[in-house]
Order: sequence, then structure tokens, then C-alpha cells
Amino acid sequence: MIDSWLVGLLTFAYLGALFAIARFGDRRADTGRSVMSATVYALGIAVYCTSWTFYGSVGRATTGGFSFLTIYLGPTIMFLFAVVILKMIRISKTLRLTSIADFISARYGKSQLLAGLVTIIAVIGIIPYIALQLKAISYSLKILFPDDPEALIPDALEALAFMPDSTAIIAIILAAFTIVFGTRHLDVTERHEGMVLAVAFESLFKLIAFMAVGIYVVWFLNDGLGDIFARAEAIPKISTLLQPDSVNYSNWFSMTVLSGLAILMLPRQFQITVVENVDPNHMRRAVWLFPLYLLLINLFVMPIALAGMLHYQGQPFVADTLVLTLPLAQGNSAMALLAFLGGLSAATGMVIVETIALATMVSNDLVVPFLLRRDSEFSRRKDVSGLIMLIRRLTIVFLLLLGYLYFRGAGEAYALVSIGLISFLAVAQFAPSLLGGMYWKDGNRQGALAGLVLGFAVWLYTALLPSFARSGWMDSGFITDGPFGISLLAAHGLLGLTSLDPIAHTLFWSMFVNVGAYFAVSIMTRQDPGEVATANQFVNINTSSALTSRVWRGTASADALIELLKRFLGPKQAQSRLQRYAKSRGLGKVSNLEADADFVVFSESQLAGAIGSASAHVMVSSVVQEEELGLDEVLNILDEASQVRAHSKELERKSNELEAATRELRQANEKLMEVDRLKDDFMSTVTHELRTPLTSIRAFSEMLHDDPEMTAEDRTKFLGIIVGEAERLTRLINQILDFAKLESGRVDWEVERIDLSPLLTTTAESVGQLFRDKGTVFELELPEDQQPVWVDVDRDRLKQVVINLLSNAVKFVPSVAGLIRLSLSHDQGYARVAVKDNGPGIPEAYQGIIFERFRQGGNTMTDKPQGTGLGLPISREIVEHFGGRLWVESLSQDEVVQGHPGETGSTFIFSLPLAAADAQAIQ
Amino acid sequence: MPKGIQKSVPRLAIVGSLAVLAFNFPILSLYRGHVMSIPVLYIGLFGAWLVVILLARWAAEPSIRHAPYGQQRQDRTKL
Repeated sequence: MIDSWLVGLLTFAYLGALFAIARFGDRRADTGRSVMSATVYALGIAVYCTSWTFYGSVGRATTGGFSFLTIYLGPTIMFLFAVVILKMIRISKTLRLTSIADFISARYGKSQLLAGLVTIIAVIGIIPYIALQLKAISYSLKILFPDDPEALIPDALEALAFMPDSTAIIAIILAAFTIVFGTRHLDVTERHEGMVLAVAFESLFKLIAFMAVGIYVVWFLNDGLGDIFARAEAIPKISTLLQPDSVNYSNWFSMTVLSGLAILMLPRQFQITVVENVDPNHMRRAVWLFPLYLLLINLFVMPIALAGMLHYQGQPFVADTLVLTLPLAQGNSAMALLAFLGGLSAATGMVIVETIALATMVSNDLVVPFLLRRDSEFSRRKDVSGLIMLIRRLTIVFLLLLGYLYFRGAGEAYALVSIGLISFLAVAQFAPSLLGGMYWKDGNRQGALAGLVLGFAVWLYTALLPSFARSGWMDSGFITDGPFGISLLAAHGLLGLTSLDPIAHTLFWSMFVNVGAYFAVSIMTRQDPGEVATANQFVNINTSSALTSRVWRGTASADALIELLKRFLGPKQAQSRLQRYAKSRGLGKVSNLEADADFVVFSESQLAGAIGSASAHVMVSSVVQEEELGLDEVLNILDEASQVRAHSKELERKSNELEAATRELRQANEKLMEVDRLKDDFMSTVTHELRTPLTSIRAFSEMLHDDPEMTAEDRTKFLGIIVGEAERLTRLINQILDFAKLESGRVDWEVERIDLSPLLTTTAESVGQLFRDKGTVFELELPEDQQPVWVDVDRDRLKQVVINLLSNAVKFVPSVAGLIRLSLSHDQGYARVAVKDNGPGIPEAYQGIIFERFRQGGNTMTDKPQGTGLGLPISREIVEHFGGRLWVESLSQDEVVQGHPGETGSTFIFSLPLAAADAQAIQ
Repeated sequence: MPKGIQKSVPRLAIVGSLAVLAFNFPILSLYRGHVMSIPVLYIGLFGAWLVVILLARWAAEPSIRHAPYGQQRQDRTKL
């Protein structure tokens, strides 16, 4: 026996803790240190698991085997298709939508009628669900205290006439919690962080409680999973539940679809997943953490159910409360208390969030529109923000009262027990118009209305009424036999469809008529102009967020709009938002605001956060004269907008192309300028080089001319110089011509296959006189194997290269003990010719520039130039033309002094590709 | 839509499609018999579920393990 004071204490301590946590969350939010992390968000979504999960899953498992899992597999799958939820979040954030009724109505031209209809369906479908949570609390108390279910209330108080039962007290506390933490701001789009934090805590608590009971039942009351399953196997009635043959696949599939839709459409899920979402990136955590939560909370459902069935074998027992009764039967009151608190947390979390969501819908989409229409006092009031807040708070109380009364009225009836799935079916009716509206532009208001009304009617007839009938509130004949004996109209077998279970049956028929009507009516009727714009915005939310102000035209007064905002948001709130808005538009003061389309749209979206988009639209329309745009006009604007988008994309592409072209041009220009500079350099060098021999020719000619008495000896000497300089001049001009031809590619190459060895030998002979003149020793090294070395070259040109290199070498070898070695080798497909001298060598700094035109090693300004400076560049051009390479390896005097071993001297080397081997064979 | 999650959307949808297959007929009908007296249906459903969750985590938060704690805090306070 558990002490009632202990249960009472824990219950109220738990509820107190909720208040404290929520207060903490709100405090943190107020100081800018938000507690809303991705994990809190994902745990908040687990408000999906109500007491119906906590207690009911085990009950379902005892009769339906594993089919209870479908309720959790559907949401798992739906979360993986995160793109749908992300789009819902995006749309709601952009348009400041606050509830599922708001969402649907905003899509279809902000229709108040549609918003009201959705609200009514939600209330009818959900109130029994709230009642079920209260019943779960009351029932669990009854299990704990079978003799005195009201043990929580001291006997002295119980005697008082007005004393409510303990469930009512808990409901009152929940109402207080919801009012304090769920209606902090008039603007619903402002988040309730404290409330979400408390709900996340509740989710964690119920998970821990349920798993604790599961572990206790499996490993403490029994010998583990294997033991339970093995014993269950022995009982045929139970063992069949554990095999796939017990699964009706079409029911299984329908339930998965139904729960997948419910996770999107349930008002509390919309509230947490969409409205309370602070950052769409939190979905990254939620897509796996929420399914993981579902997995964990279901892990022990089957074992507990089996343990219960084994424990009470043959005796009657209530399967729905096994979570409580199993620990109690063992006298483990601590575990029973934990289970009780877990169930309490599951129930309260659901009640809190569902009430907030429903209260927003009821006050914004039913009460406020009603007051705006009927109550002249309401529309005259200067500041109605407080009143709207009061309405929302009263709605919360009213909804909880409704839930409580339903619970009292229905009691133990079937109508209450089965309500979980019936609620799912009710909210599933929103799916066609909501999902269709997000992805299909042509879906329209008439279609949505028709679908909702027909789907709801089928739900009423095939799901709600039968549950009433089963509770004995009405004659149940119509369920299986049909009204007036018309069997085709039987509520659980419409048109004779009896093979599905009742839930799948309702899902099929309601979706059939709902989807069918939505599409058929949408196709047959036209959207009105206002709807076209919103439809477009919903479907293309990623590209057209700034479109709404384009499809508004009319005249308005800024003062009237400001007045309106102050009236509904409260003067202070309105002022601060207007100031922020004015600043964002670059206007310093609110008084500078002009009543343009943008401001009208802004006002409407601000109002939408407080009173819903449908009412906001009505209110804004009441102070501005909107010019009704024709359908064609709206279509034109939308078309224009998309064209503008296309054009701007095109422009962007073009400008990118232009930029690339400009870059190329600039590079080309730089290259040209460089070439031009080189040409100038070339010209000035050439003229300089030409002038030097010319000057000496002229000087000596003048001397010969002016001095007739010159001795014959001098005369001969001078004439020799003139001839030498003239030769140099000729050589220079020849080389320049040569080089120019090479550069411009106007050379006629006479390519033939030749053996390098004889070529080198004859060439060396032709310059033999040079060596002899200077007394230089010349050595020729040919390959030892005596094999011909074939290359494809122009014989004369190559000869020119070799002569060039040899005569260069002669110039630089010392006059005493000069040595030049010409060698030929070949490897790796290349022939290699090297000219080595023992001259002074070329410092590394000059090794690059000697291959440039008119550049020579050493200081050309002071040293007398030896040669034209074109020999090496020409040689390199020729060698490279045949696919070879010309380079120098040199050890200069400085380097030798610095400690490098070996003698000084340069080696000019060129390589040429060997002719192809097969061709060699033919030769 | 923020870039981060946007990139994972297609991968998640593939995982979702796998989940639809794994949790319905005919794959569902394959989970029959026992392994060490535990029904294959129990192991199969929860096992497939866990695999789907791990895949989803890999698709949606691939770098979660490498993100330094301080950085995560920063992300939170930024919101």
C-alpha cells in the first residue's frame, strides 16, 4: 500500500518542477540565452507520445501483436522526408502563421470560413483526446488507490461540496501552467521557450520511467528477454502474435500512413515542430533523435505485454494498465510510483501543448472573427490587445473544461478508449488541402472546402458515431448492418468493403472522398485573384518571398494602419515593431512611414501573428481601400515576376561572361604590350649592333680617304680591319634575317634522317682551322659501339648549331692549353651532343640570359662584344624545333674558388629525339 | 532553407524510402522464426529501425562527432 500523502507530494512536486523548469526557460530566453537547442527541440516533438502511448501501447500489444509499432514507424518515415516539414516551417516563418487552421486558410486566400472549419474539426477530433489524458490520470490514481480514488484529497476537504476530484485539480493546475507559459505573448509566433523546455523534460521523464519499468519487468521479474519470449512461445494464443502471419499487411500499411500524416497534422505537433522551431537546422538532430526516442520507448512494450499475459494467465486483467499493475502486484511501490509519474508526464505534456495549439485556433479563427463581426463594442475599443489575450486564456480554460466534462461524461465508455486513432483520422482530413496546397498551385478554396467537409462527414459517420454507438449512447445497428438495413451504407463496411479493420476502412474512404473532392473541385472551379498570389507564394516559397507586396494595390493611410496595429498589438508592442520596421526601410521615424503596399503587407503579417491571418486580412482590408485586381492582372504580375527572375538570371549569366571576356582581353593586351616592348628592345639592340661595325668601317675609311700619305703597311692593316668589320656586319645581318625567319616560322625545313656521327665529324673538320689558329686541342668522342645514331633533322641547320657552339667555345678557351671536347652519346630515346670547353665558365646568373637575343655573358657595356649575341638563341630555336633541348652546364671561376671541385669551363649540351626504331630498321 | 539541412534532404529521402520498404509487406513477412528464442519479428523491426536511425544521423549530422563542444555552444547562443 502506498501512502497517499507521498503520492500527493510527488505529484505536486512534479508539477511544481514543471513550473520551475518553464520559468527557468523563459528567464533564459528573456536574457537572450536561449535554451532551445536541437536536442530540446527533438525531445519537444516527442510530445507525440501521450499517455495513450505510455499505457495504451502495452494494451494494444496484448491483442494486436506488433501492430502498435505502426503508430511510431509512420512518424519515423515522415521525419526522413524532412523536406515536407522544412517547407512547412519556411512558409510559416515567412507568413507568420501560427496554427494548422491558419496555415490552411492562408493558403486558400485567407479564408475565414476555411479557418473556422479546420478549427471545428480539430476541436471535435481532439477534445476527446484531451479527455483521454485526463482519464489516464484518473485511472492510474484508481489503480494506486483502489479503495479510495480520491485519496490525494484529504478527507476533511473532500467533504466540502465544491471540492473537485483530483483529476480536476490536476486539470486546473495544467490550465494555470498553460496560461502562464503558453500565453506570454500576444503574438503566437513569439516562441514559448519555457513551455517547450518543460515539455522536453516531460518527454525525457516519461522515457526514463517507461524504460525503467521495462527493465524491471524484464530482468527483475523475469529472466530477461529470452525467458519471456520462450515462455510466451509455449502458449499458442500468444505465440501467433509474435509472427508476421498475425500481421494484416493492408491494415499495417494504412496505420503507418495514418500516423505519418498525424505527425504533421496534429495541432500539438504543428505547434512544436513548426511554430516553436527556432532554427530549421534543428531538424538535422530531430530527424534521427525523435525516431530514436520512439524506438526506445517502444523497446519494452512487447516484453511488458507478454510478461503481463504470462503473469495473469487465465485471470481477467486490464491490459492498458499493466505498466502500473505489474510493479504493484510485486509490491514494488517505488517502481509503481515512477510509472505513475511517467504516465502523468505523458498526459500533462500532451494536454499543455494541445491546449495551447487549440486555444490559438479557437480564439483566432472562431472567437475573434465572431466578435469582429458581431460585437460593435469590440470593434470600437481603442486597445483590444489585452482583450484578445484574455480571450485566449479563457479559451484555454474552456477547452480543458470541455475535455474534463467529456471525460466525466464518457467515463469508461469505448468512445474514450479508442479515441487515439479516431483523433488521428480526424486530423488526417487536413492532409489533402495542406499538402496539396504546398505542392499544387491550382488547388483552390472550393476544392479544399469540399474535401474537408466530405472527409469530415465520412469520419463522423464511420469513426465517431460508431464509437458513440459502442459506448451504448445510440443504436449500433448501422455499424455492421447499415442504417435502415441498407448494408451498403454500413458504417464499417461502406459499399460492402468489410475486409479492412475499422480504422483502415475510415482512412480509405475519408481520404478517397477528401482527395477526390479536393482535386475534382479544384479543377472544375477557378481561383479568385487573391488566392492565386498566396497559392503561388506557398508553392514557390523558396523563390518568391517578396512577392505579396507586388500583388497588392490600393490606397491606405499610414495613420489608420498604425492605429490598427496599436489596437491589436497594444500601443507599446506596436510602437517598438513599427520603429524596427521604419529603421529596416531606412526611414528614421515611424511618422515617415508611407502607406505603400509593403507597409500594408507588413501590418497584415504583424496582425496575423496575433489574431491569425484570416482575421488580420479582414482587419487590414477594413482600413485600406484595396483595389480588387483582376485574375488576369494577378497572373500578369506573377508572370512578370517570374520573367523578371528569368531576366535577372540571364543578366547575371551575361555579366559573368562579359567579365570573363574582359579578363581574357586584358591578358591578351598585356601580352601584346610585352611583345611590343620586346620588339622595341630588339630594334634598338639591332641598330646598336649594326652601328658598331659601321662606325669602325667609316672611321677607318675616312682615315684612308683623308690621309693619302699613309704607309702601305697601315693601309693594309686598316683595310683588313674594314674587311673584317664588313664580314661581321654581313654575318650579323644574316643572323638577324635567320632569326627573324625562325621567329616568324617562315623557314623551309628540309628534314631528313641522318646519322649524327659523320655529321659531327665533318662539321668539326670544317671548323678545324679555328682550333689550329688558336692552338686549341680538339677532341671528338663518338659512341663506342659504332652504331649509327639516327635523328630526323635539317642537316644544314643542325650543322649551323654545332658550328655555333664550337666557335663559341673557341672564343672562350684560354689561348694556352685550350681544350674543347665534342661528344655524342644516346640513351632513353634521345641523342645527346655536348661541347665542353675549359674556359672561364659562365656564372650561374648569366646561364639563363645567354640564350636571350643580343645578350652575352659578362658586362656588354665595358667588355668588347665577342659575337653577335644571336648564335645561341638561333641554335636553341633550331634544336627546339626538332623536339630537342639546348642548355648549358657550367662551373665558373668564382664557384671553383668557393670550393667546388673540378676545373672551370662550360658544357653546352643539346639533345634530339632519336628516330623511331622501326624506321631505323628500314634504313 | 538553410544550406546545412538542405544538403541532407535528398539523402534522408533515400533513407526514408528504404524505411518504407523495410517496414512493410513483403519484407515484413520475412521476419519469421526465432533467434535464441527471441522472435525474428522483434529483432527485425527494431534492428531495421536502428539501422534507419543510424543512417539518418549519418545523412543529417555527418560531422556531429567532430564538432568541438565550444562550437556547438556558439551555435546555440546565436539563435
